Amino acid sequence: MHSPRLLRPRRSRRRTASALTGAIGLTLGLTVALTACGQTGSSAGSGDTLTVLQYENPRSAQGQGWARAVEIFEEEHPGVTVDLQTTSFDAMRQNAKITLSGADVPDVVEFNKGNADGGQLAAQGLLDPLTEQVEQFGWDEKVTGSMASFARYDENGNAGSGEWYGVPNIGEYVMLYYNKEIFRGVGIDELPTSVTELEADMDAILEAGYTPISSSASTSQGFNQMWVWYSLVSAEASRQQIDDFMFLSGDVDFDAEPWRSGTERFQEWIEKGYVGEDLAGLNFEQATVNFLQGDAAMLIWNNGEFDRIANDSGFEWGYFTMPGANLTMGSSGHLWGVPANARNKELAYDWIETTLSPEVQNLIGSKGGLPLAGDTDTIDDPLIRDFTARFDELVAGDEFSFYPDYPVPGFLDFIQENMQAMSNGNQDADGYLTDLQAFYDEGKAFQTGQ
Amino acid sequence: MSRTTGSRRATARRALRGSPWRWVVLAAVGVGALLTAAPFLLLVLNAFKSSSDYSQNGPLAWPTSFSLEAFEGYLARVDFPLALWNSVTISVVVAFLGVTLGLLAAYALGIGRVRGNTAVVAVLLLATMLPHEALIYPLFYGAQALGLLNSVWSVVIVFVVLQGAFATYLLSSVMSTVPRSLLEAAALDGANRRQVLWRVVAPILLPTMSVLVVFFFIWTWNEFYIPLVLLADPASQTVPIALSTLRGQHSIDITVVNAGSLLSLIPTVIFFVLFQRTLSRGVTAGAIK
Repeated sequence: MHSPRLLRPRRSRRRTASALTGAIGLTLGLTVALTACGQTGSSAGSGDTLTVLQYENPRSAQGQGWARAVEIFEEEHPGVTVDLQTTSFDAMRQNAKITLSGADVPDVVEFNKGNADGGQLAAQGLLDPLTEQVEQFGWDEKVTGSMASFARYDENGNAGSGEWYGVPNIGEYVMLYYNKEIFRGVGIDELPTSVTELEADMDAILEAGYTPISSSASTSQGFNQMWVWYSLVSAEASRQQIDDFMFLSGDVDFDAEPWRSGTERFQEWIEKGYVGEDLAGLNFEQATVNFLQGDAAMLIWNNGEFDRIANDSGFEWGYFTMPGANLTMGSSGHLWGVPANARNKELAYDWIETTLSPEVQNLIGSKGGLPLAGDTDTIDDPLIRDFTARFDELVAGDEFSFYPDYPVPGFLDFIQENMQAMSNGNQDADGYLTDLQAFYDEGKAFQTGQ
Repeated sequence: MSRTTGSRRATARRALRGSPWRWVVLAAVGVGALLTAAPFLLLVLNAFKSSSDYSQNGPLAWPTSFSLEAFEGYLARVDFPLALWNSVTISVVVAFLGVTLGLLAAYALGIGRVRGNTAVVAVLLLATMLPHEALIYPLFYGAQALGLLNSVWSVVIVFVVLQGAFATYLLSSVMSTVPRSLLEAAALDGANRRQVLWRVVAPILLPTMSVLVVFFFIWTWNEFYIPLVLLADPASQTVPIALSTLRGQHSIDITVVNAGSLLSLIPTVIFFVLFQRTLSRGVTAGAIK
């Protein structure tokens, strides 16, 4: 049994085996070495570091404003460093419920507004109510009206009333960017003042061989059609009708105005070719490129692409909101919140206050970021000043209709599928409104706990 | 010798001339190859454009001038060397430890004939098929209890186990094809169980294990969901997660995303090229006995 003979012919095998052992040994060695240098330790929660988790592009207006806010904050709090961490919008949406339930959480987080996101975090107790601090710091004087609607959530996580859980810094609104060269070429000298005039202009644009509005309807990121549809509904809606729909407060009859007329008009627009063809596979990025390439006369989008259009367009351009509309799509930006498990809450409140300070707000404003508490007159660039002034007008008139997917969970996917089907001609206004009623009512019953 | 090659060439030429189908097949294969490479080529093309060039001329146009703007933008926004280091660490450690764990477990199941081994393998297979979303809460609280949140080691442990389960399943079925006579011969020659594993079984399975190492490296490299939850701190982020921070809700820097994707692809491509020979050897290993 114990014969040493067997070892001799096995040399090559032994070599391979020892190579493998070597590789494993190397890995284990690496493991140990890395563990040793991996213990830098997490600093969240210690008294001298404020951890801020956010997801804005550092080159955006808000990102630049917050970089300045870090400097100001560290000046005002000697010995405290701000750890400004960047994540992504999608990561926050998918993970906030898990990561905020941990023991080691950031002191301030930027979170997504809406019942499905912020509402859930508030209802599950993962965020602290901020009503007391809002009054103490006077944030409710800076964040007013519809800008505050998605900062407050009730015990079911429904927006519009209840305690404050978040504080926004900026706002956003949806507009029609237009190519001035195409408008001039077609002979449109004055901007339309009503939807009917806009339709007449679009007939002329179509005749000249351009697509009137660059749009998209992919179920992944093809939001333009949804915005066209909801803008047409908002144009004829009253404040009360939109609030009932948004805040689940009254019965919504989708077979009545403004839903029926807006949706039928939307179908008409698709059939007449106002929004182009073959939209099912396009996303908002491609719709933007189609506009910037000069193929389409207009693009419906919000201020998210303002900066890009200003830098990248090779033609003269302008913008206007849906002409003659009662209400315009738009809302506050995303919100600052303080996790229930945060350890430096006092510093967290100071941080929110710093981002709402005149200096930070005016910096955000000068970069085109639509601040809620900035002074529009301090903006030098006339283009950005006008654009911000239009926003201020909408805030003052309480004219925002928000985004249509906020009220019930799963709404975004449902609407997007129907937008795609309508754009393909596989769904009509009647069918969509019927389905919409059923989906909304079911979601509402779930959300309000009935 | 030269005559044979000459005549063979002549036959080939005749076949070529005789059959236009060959050209059709060649063209079809060429088109197929181009289609397969198209997404990658588009990525390269658009990574070297400036943002305004992309916006005005679209994704399909040739760049008006080659620009490194997108790469600069990417490197300014993301700590790429750190993310790269984290990703390489996780992937390399998982690849080797996962295969080692699989080998040890498979030895017991495939050669050792543990009672109920089929059931064990079935359970392991089930574990690899579970959607990660179903595992995430236990993993998160487990990592937190161990103090490993925001540390690459939490992800390493999770994936060593998950990939190890797959390796166990695969290796144990390959081991059951190892001839019993070989093992008996080794035992007769006085090898104990450990010697049989390292000197007989492991060398036979080496090609298969090499393939698994390559696969585990690439799979772990591309993992998104579990690292996203367990590694919230930017200091421990992996490359795919760093890349995802470039997407805004209503805006996207498409050229920067292209440049970032290209940079993130390079390590996997290098790894694949380095191990490509082992890969093809492993795939054909069973062919010659």
